[in-house]
Amino acid sequence: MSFHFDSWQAFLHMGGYGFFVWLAFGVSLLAVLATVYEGIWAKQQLIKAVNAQMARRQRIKQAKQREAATDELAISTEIHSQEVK
Amino acid sequence: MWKWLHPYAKSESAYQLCKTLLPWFAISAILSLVIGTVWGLAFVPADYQQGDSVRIIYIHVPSAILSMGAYSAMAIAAFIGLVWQIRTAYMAMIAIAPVGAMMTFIALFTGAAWGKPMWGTWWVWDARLTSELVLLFMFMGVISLYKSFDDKLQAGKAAAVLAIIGVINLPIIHYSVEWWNTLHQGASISKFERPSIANEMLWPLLINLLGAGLLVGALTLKRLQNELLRREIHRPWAIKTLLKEGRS
Amino acid sequence: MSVLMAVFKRDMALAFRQRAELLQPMLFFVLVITLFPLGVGPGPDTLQKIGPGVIWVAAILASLLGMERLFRDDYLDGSLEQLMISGAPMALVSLVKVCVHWLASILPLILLSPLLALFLNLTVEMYWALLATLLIGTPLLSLVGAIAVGLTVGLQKGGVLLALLMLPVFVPLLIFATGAVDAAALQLPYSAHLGFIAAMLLLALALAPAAIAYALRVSLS
Repeated sequence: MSFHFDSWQAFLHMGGYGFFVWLAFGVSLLAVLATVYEGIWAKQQLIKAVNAQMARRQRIKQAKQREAATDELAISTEIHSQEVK
Repeated sequence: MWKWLHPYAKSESAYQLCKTLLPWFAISAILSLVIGTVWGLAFVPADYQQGDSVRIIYIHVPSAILSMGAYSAMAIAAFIGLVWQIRTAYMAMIAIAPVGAMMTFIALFTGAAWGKPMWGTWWVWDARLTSELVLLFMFMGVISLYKSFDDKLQAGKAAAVLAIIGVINLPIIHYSVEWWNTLHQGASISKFERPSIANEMLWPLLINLLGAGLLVGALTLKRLQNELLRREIHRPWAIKTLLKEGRS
Repeated sequence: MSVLMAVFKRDMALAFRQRAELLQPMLFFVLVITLFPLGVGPGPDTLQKIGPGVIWVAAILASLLGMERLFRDDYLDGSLEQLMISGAPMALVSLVKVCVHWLASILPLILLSPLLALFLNLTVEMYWALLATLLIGTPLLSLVGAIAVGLTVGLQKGGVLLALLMLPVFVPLLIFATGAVDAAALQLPYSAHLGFIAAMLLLALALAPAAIAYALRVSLS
């Protein structure tokens, strides 16, 4: 078993069939790479979605805390003003 | 006998299994395909009749065989899902479908690229080519049926029924196209026989066949992981897994 | 002007969001054309003779399939009505919507046409003629089709009615389109055929938008 072609030119030329051979191999490789990439990309989209969801939950939690804090402020000011009276 | 499969009906265990198996499948797929392809491209002698164009066979035959293998696997997953009502089986089915469609496309395209120099035409309506084209349509049918439902459980059931009907259809289509072709003698191309292959040319073919099978496995495992996460995205295990993988 | 750009961008975004719906006319197109060799036999000469007609009929059927989507979603959720009472120039808005529909639904079919020309064994000269007829003829289909869709937008089952309403356009379009490709097959000039289709297109461009707007007003009143 040895390298079948005399030179790299001959390898590319493929005995005259170069266009068809490399077209076949090239498009097949592209199809496989596209499918591989789609798998990776879909996972990244899912990670992005979960991160966005977590961030949204954080924002909601913080907004609620701020609201509770201002309510406490209002209540304590109210009590304080009543005590002063 | 199938008790060992039962834990994998739970999506979290299925996800862990996919995660464990994927590197093995991926690496062995890449190794086999690289070895088989390079061997077939550069180290095998040319065919005395077909010259160097015969090297296309090292992609064409494995992809054609795997296109039918993938469809069978998809149909088996569909069957398991319908009979035992296992959701992860539906997810496996829809994970395989695009990979099978890709293999069918590669088989059709490499066949056309081989046919043009050998028999003078990119396409002809003979039994094998037409049946393979119909197989591609069936994959696309399963995928588009699944996508058109919002409720993914219903989608899985409908697509599963279609996948199983497709299996029954495949021999029907192949034989009817064969009979149709012998009825209409109008086709100008007479023989599409695969050349009987010498031993030294057989090994890279077998290696690529193994590699293509492992590739279908690896791609399916990856897509199944994604589908599991997508469907269970509101469950704590999924959220934890995605956050962890997002950080790394 | 900004209203038109806004409608264009919105409709394009909506069209490409539902990729599965976009693929259906394409799949239908390929399936219908695949059926013909199975029906008439695989002989390359027969296929070449019927090829242009088959591709055009399949294109007409596939575009009918997708045409109903032109106003349906906007009608169902009320945004069509909002657009109409907002004072936007409905004739131009309709033109924009037809444009988006052509880009999203019909252009993919035209991009598939080389593959289908291969399936039906057309020569390269025939294909160039076919492509020219498709590029000039399908916008005509979309424009006149939109009038019919506008008239039937409120109906439950407007499908067959749509085909009936468009028949007067189908007949000359098919005759001249297939005539052009047949002329190309015989290496004869076909610019006259293209010219006729182009004239119909120009007439449609001038008159159809107003007709669509009127049809929508009739349907939504």
